[in-house]
Amino acid sequence: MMATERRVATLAWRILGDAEEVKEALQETFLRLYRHLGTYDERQDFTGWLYRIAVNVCRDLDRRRRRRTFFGLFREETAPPPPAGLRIDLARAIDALPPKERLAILLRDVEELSTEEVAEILGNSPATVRVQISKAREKLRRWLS
Amino acid sequence: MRGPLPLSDRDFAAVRAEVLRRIERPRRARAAEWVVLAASVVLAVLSIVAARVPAAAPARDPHYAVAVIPSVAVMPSVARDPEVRVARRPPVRVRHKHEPAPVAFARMEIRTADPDVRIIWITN
Repeated sequence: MMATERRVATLAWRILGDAEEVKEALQETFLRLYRHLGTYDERQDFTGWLYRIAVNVCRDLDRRRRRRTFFGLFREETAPPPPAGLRIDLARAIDALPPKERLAILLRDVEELSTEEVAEILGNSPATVRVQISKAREKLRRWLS
Repeated sequence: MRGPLPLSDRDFAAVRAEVLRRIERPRRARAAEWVVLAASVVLAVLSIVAARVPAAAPARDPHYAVAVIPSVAVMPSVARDPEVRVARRPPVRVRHKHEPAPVAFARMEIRTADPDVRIIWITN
């Protein structure tokens, strides 16, 4: 159970990047897990199901945070690339990705889930996930080179 | 990538405690909600029943009126004036020889507090 907690917390940390939001995300994830336990299909992978809940919680928190900031009100779906010429780390580069691409690459390349698992968590098709990951990698390559 | 996860064991314990507390709270709140709902339903039913019951007429002593039908004269069973029933002495009448002895009977009418309810008692 504690290992599961840490996995969820680590995922939330990578998506949200704020300790307080991570705690909130962890809490909300386990509350939703409890509330929807009756709907869990034993045939599906429990970790994948848990990750899906965690990702949705993180999305909601991220959306709420973006709405709160003044800049967030005028934010386009695609974030502008980080300033050229500045040395930026991978975390900031991933933060600059659009939300869908960011989640796809975090789950695939950082959490090391399979494309099918990522597709199931995000509620997309594997083909869409591959396209999102490909675009994300291309942007990261450009920004970090 | 971002650095290590900045949560300690204490943070995880606090999160677990909060989750348990929030799971427990709705259960107690749901029980309280049922009690309030039940009480509201009972009050609503009582209000409807109270609204339907007609207002009771002011309490009065039942009005007893006795009308004694005289033995010599036949009094109508329906009073001329139903509102006023006063006991009165029957008029004296001279009886002739061939006249059969009249049958004596008494009629008692009791008016209750409800004007639509009257108890009429006829006996011989």
